[in-house]
Amino acid sequence: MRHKSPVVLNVTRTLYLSLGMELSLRLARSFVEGYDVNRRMGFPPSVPVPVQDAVNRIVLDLIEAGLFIELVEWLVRTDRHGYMGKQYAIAGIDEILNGMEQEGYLLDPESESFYEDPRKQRTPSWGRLKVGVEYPITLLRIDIANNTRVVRANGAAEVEAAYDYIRELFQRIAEKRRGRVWIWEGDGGMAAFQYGHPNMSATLCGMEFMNEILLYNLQANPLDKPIQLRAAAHAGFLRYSENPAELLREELVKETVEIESRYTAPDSFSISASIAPHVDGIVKDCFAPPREYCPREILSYSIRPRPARAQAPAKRTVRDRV
Amino acid sequence: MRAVLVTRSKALELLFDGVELVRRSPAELDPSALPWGQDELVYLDLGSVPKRQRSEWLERLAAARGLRWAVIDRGRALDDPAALFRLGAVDYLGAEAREGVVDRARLDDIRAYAERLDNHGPKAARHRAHHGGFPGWDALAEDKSYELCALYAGVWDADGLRTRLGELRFSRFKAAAAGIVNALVQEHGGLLWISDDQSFLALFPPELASQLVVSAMRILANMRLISYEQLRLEQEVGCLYFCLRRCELPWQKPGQTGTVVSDALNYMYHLGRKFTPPCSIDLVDELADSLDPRLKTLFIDAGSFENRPIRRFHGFESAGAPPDQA
Repeated sequence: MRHKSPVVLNVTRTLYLSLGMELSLRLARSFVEGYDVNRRMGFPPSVPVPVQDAVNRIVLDLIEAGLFIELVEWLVRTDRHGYMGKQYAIAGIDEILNGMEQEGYLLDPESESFYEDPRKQRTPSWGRLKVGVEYPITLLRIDIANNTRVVRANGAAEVEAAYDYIRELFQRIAEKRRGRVWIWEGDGGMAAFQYGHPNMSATLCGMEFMNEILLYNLQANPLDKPIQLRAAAHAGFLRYSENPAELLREELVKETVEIESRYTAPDSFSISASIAPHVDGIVKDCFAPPREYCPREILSYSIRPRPARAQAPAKRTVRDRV
Repeated sequence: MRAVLVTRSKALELLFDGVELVRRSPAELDPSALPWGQDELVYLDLGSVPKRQRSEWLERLAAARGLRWAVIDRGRALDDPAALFRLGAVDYLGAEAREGVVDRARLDDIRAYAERLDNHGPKAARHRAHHGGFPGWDALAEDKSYELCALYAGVWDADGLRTRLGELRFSRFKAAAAGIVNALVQEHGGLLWISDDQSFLALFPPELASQLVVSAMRILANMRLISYEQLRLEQEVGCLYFCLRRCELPWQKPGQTGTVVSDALNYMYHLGRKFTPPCSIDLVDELADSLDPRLKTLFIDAGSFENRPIRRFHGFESAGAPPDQA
């Protein structure tokens, strides 16, 4: 964040007007342990620092520590829910939110945290995740079953066209729901979700992906046989890294891969027990437990054309003609 | 080029400088009904349109044939302004737009851009690729018969849904369903002919039957997601169904049909209302034979309706892992 950005000036003004010295210091200490504004400004402990100068210093220090967005999130939460049981009217919060939007950050209403404006940029970290820090993440993993057979039995151009389509489809469906594709390995990949309703988003993405692959198989698939995919979604904590090799070593990633590769049948999409409780009934209705013993509590989804019905249901009467 | 500013706020006229400008209220404008000239550009002020009607307005603008349109969004109501250009908009004025931003030079640029889109844009390419010999709706002569594809899309049990959801939620459901059908019509360069609370009848170039079937199947496959995400249903899954027929139709411009009712369209209406079951697709006559063999196998003989053979796709079913593979 630029020091002279309008949003920085707005935040400084807001701290001064709405929080005052004592609360501003408590705020700073909640981010930087033992923060001492006198020492930062070179004042002896016995000399009081003017409030306006103090909040200015606090904001600049938090920017330098890379904590400015966290500071604004704190202001948003305090404006909406109060702080330590007391309600505070945060002056100019709307201007601050507008300013953040100008800087390329949108507020996620669910988690009350900022993420990068997808109209301006799309990065794997949503512009927020920090390397080495642990976050709650929902992962969606997909994999093409029998990849070796597909590659051997088809021409390189057909395989490339089909796999390109799958990769683009996966990316489009994930980004539509604020997900990010973190890993792509040629015959499968992994997307992450953190904003909005990440568990619901991952579930809907997995379902849409299976539906689209079925349609692709029914009309446009250039390969000799229908493409079979396995997909799995799982949620937990993960230490963020920009290096895919490091991500693959994370326990959450290993568990997701295990659910997909060991317990998910081809043409199926599984959600783990950490996701299922967060999925709305109307969507969860079309998931079912696996038919065979599975040591993990998972629910599976698959879709296929419905066989012909014996008799069509009765229709209502025609009221009028065209 | 003349600018038509659709707004309730006179202040927005300040955005225009030295161009011929007409201001109109959103209430007096129906984008699909007016004969729009190639030399008019409609600027819709989103702030003058009620929040709930915005998407409907954008869909109407996008569907209006021959209309060049743009959006003024001073209140940053749109999450994704780029999507407007995919819908067919030719200009966008956001919150930062300064006074006099729309001048003669800008309109000239827009005209050049719109002409490029008409000739070389993705829409034109798609039209050429998909429509083959179809001359375009504007080129059809009145009272002459043409072979066209008629698609009936119905909402299953609309009356029951209205009772269960209540009027307010049902009206939102209706608008969302209309949005889905409009997107389908627009994607394939069709023409929405008639619609009511529970059904839509649209016409398409005859070569598009196969693509239409795939699009209808996509809607049926994603019906649960659509119900949750677009129709905002929390308790039950909405259900659409489709009938498709290639037929010879005497052409009249929309809104000028008078009492002329085609037997073919009447047949489609009755087929949809009386015969087609929920979440399925009915194809009339030999239409199924023109499909890709992989698709054709999914359409099974469903008897006949008013002496015409019907082939039916029974929709999708979802469950746990397939029994043969679990």
